[in-house]
Amino acid sequence: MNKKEYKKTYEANKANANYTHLIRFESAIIFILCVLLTLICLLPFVIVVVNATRDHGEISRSVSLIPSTHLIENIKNLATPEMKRTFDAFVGYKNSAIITISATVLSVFFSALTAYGLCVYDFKLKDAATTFILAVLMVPTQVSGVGFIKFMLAIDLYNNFLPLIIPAIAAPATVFYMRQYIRSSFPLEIVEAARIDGCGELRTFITIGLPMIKPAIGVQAIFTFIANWNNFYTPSMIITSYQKMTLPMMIKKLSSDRLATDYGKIYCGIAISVVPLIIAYCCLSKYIVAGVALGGVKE
Amino acid sequence: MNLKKNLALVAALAMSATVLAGCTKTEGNTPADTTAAGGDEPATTDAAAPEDTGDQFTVMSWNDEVPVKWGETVYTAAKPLPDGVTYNPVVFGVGGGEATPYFQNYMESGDDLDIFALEADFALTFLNSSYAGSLADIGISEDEFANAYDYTMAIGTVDGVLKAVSMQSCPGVYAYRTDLADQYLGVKSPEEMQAKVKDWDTYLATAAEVKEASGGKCTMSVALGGIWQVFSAARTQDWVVDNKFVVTDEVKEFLELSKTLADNGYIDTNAQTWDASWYGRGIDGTTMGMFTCAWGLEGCILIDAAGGVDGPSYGLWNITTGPAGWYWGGTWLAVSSTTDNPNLAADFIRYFCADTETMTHFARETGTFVNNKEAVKNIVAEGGYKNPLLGGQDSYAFFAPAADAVPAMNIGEYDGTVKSALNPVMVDYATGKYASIDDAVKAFTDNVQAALPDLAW
Amino acid sequence: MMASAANRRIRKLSYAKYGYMFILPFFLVYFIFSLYPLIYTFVVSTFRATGTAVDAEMLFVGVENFKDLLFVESPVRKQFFQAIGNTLILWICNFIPQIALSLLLAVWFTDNRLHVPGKGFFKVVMYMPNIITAASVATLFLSLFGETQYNPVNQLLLSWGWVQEPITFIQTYQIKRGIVSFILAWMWFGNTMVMLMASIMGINPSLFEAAQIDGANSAQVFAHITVPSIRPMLVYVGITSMIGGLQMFDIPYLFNKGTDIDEYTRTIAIYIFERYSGATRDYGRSAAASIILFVITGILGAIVFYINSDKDELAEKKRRRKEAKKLKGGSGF
Repeated sequence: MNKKEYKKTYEANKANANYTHLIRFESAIIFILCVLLTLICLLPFVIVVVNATRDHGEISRSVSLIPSTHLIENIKNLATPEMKRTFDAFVGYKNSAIITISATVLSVFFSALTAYGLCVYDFKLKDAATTFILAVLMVPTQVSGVGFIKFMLAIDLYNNFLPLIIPAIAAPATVFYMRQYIRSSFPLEIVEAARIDGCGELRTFITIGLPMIKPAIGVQAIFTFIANWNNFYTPSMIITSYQKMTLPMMIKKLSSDRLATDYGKIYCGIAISVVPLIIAYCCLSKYIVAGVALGGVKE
Repeated sequence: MNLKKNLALVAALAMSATVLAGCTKTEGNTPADTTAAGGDEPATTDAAAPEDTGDQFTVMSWNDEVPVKWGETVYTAAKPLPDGVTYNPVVFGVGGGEATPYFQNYMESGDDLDIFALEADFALTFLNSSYAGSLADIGISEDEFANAYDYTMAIGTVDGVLKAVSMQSCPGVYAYRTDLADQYLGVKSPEEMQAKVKDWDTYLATAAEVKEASGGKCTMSVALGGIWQVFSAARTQDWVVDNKFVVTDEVKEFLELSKTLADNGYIDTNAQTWDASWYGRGIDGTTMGMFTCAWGLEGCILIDAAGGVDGPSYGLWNITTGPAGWYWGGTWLAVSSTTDNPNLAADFIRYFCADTETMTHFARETGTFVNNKEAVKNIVAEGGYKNPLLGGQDSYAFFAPAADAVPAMNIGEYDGTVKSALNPVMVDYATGKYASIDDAVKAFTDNVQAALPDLAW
Repeated sequence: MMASAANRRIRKLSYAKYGYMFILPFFLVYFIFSLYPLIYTFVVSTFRATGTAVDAEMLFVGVENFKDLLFVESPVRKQFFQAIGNTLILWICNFIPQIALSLLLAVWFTDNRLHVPGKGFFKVVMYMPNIITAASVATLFLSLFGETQYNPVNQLLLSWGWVQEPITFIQTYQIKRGIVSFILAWMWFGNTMVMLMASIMGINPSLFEAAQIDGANSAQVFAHITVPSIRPMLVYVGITSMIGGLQMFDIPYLFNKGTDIDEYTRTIAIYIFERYSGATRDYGRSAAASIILFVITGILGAIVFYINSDKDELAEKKRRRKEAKKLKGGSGF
């Protein structure tokens, strides 16, 4: 190894070391920023949970991150028979679950069916149908709110779960997403092969199509689930009786009922609505985030 | 091909059917005809008593007070419903100001409804409609309410037909902290305090005194919205006359006073009614008092301002009339024109609004100031109601004469809407956002116009 | 060869009915539950409720409602335009920081030269606000910032001595708008980040390697490789966020204690809602505002869609044409 060559390697190493330092520095800064963001993301939830254990007086007097001893008392206050009309966690969870699960299942199944139909088959109205779906992708639900409610009143579906579940069958955004996915990663030859094997079209879709687009279904199921679970607008205009209230409606009732201004109770209610979701999320987060990520990989 | 055609046909049929359904319902979905004739006195010519046929007895309100706290807990416990009839409380859990659409959608849906509760702010919206039945139709005559306070009856009567009766009477009060009154003003009794707030000029002088003595820490009251209720009660004219919106003098007087209060620091303009800051100032003693009323003592407002039953200022309060005799809202019971349990409905209304015995009992149990002079007399005779929230002050003895003095209440169909339009303006004017009072009145009028564009403008 | 092409055509024809059958449920439900209400809304927009608020009679007024909202100088029009302005302000104020932060984080997290410990954990935590019900979030933030002197944030600031007087968060409209925008960004940045990350990870790694060999710095890689490659995802995020933005309702609506919505956070969706659900039941103008919102969405949607997907679609069409040519050529042999 002559001197010249040695020098070259040395300089390259030095540059490399500098480079590594820079990377480390950058990583550290990003790490600190992430920690800050994490705090911002978590703090509100911590406050909710801590305040759920404190009573009205304590909450009005000061902020604290140290739990107090009033959790049981707050829960008892929430569970009184009078409170049942405002906030009933079991009923809220049950109603939200019925609506959300049904809507999610219908939405992903029929969206997949529609997207599959649009991609796999050739028919005269195919382009028109696709364009239509792309066009109505932009239509916010609010624009037809007046008509929707009047219509539901007219066909006697007012204060009923059906208007919150059935429309999920027609979810343009979900169809759009699945169509993109199928177009980019679904080999149409497989359908041909199934046909040669004498497999019926619907069966092909269910046994071959659906499993192949599982990642897209997963992602859209998560989104649909979250959107429906959190929906406040439609249920609050459709549902009137407390036996059918969804969880978000109960939270709104809890915070705006002027006869229930006990902050311990309100925070406890928020905590009850939020904590199980957080726990479920912690258990499933791997799959959720991975699922969202998986679905994003396309083209 | 056939299948496709069939499906298309089914789809078309479904569409047209729904279109038709949509049309028929929207055009005439009011239960109207039987009761619309309120004016021309159908007067139950077929004297046969109406029959109860419904298997549900439905009581509806914006919050749970009437359907649950009173209806379920008190009424059904005292008087079990007949076999085969279930009690169905409908509660929307919203503020009174938000109730209208919920009520209307429920009524339009045609679901079972027997009794519904109304608040003064929107009572006329429903009493003027075909959804409210005449009490005479369910066999209740006006004479049964001889003991009710007159103004409550006036509100429930539309075009000479009695459609709703109130269960409470609601004189307004100025509630104040006795400890602070003693400390800053040397006041020892409600009578002395009343002398200190007997009119607005005296009130302002006292406010200055309190500010001085407390070093600016303590204001005379919280929330402009509370003070507006006093002025609102003094209005003698409806907001809308001949389909035209009229700004009455009370608005200007009130806005002027608001500005004076805010400029001198006699009020915290950031505190809003129904906000925790409203109550919070009662808890921490940065306000001498607040404007509330008979239903705003142990039910809400004052109990929150005391911090609850074991709150720091529980028992430290006293009530007095304040700068003007006034009233605030109340809860009326109306019967649905579609009721299928007229006898139960009638009994329910009698229980809370007519029957002296049950009302006395109810008052004794809950401290509610009932709308029945006899019952009030009974309670007062028994030694009144030593209100623990008020440190033992007898709220009944106080309210009895006050309720007698409440003038004829002036309420209109748009009161709630107009109040919402005034709320932001009062704060903005008091904090100096508008150059002149005329600008503020203009902003108020604009808000009303935006909310009620179909009046004559 | 000719015969097989004909065969193929026949086979395609015979399968067409399945295409119709598969998309039928979607269209059936869409027509009944979305399109019909939309058309009905359009019809209502030409009517006006008269008489008492509750048993209102509908009176045909033609385009009067639209004129009232758009052209006749009055408080009605002023309020409507304010609502449009508010919606745009709130959307921009939450979307720009949100997309910037998400993009930055996504790039950092996918950059395998950087070593950020706990990447997986951060991802999970940052996505979390998105799963929490808006009603709970709004209630929570309202109680954090809600009341002048007694909210936790003021208590902290006062006790640390950072401020002398409690801050009027809700009463100062700029701050209130800021908080609403912050909540929206807070709820959505994790979601946007995860989607962008997935998209970035889908980029062929050889592109990055090639860039590194060519000595491109991170900014260049970002501008010339990352962004162009994830454009479809950016479009998707942009479109969905815009749709969400225009129907923004939950957070600004629930970030109020009662129903008296102030003029600074009243969005179009709240305006529409207030009109038809308010005590006056102004169905006509509410429906007219809905139709105007529909048109605005349509225009904005078309613009975003064409700007961003023109090239893709064109390329797609070109490819199809080429394929068709090839087929023709094939049959010519």
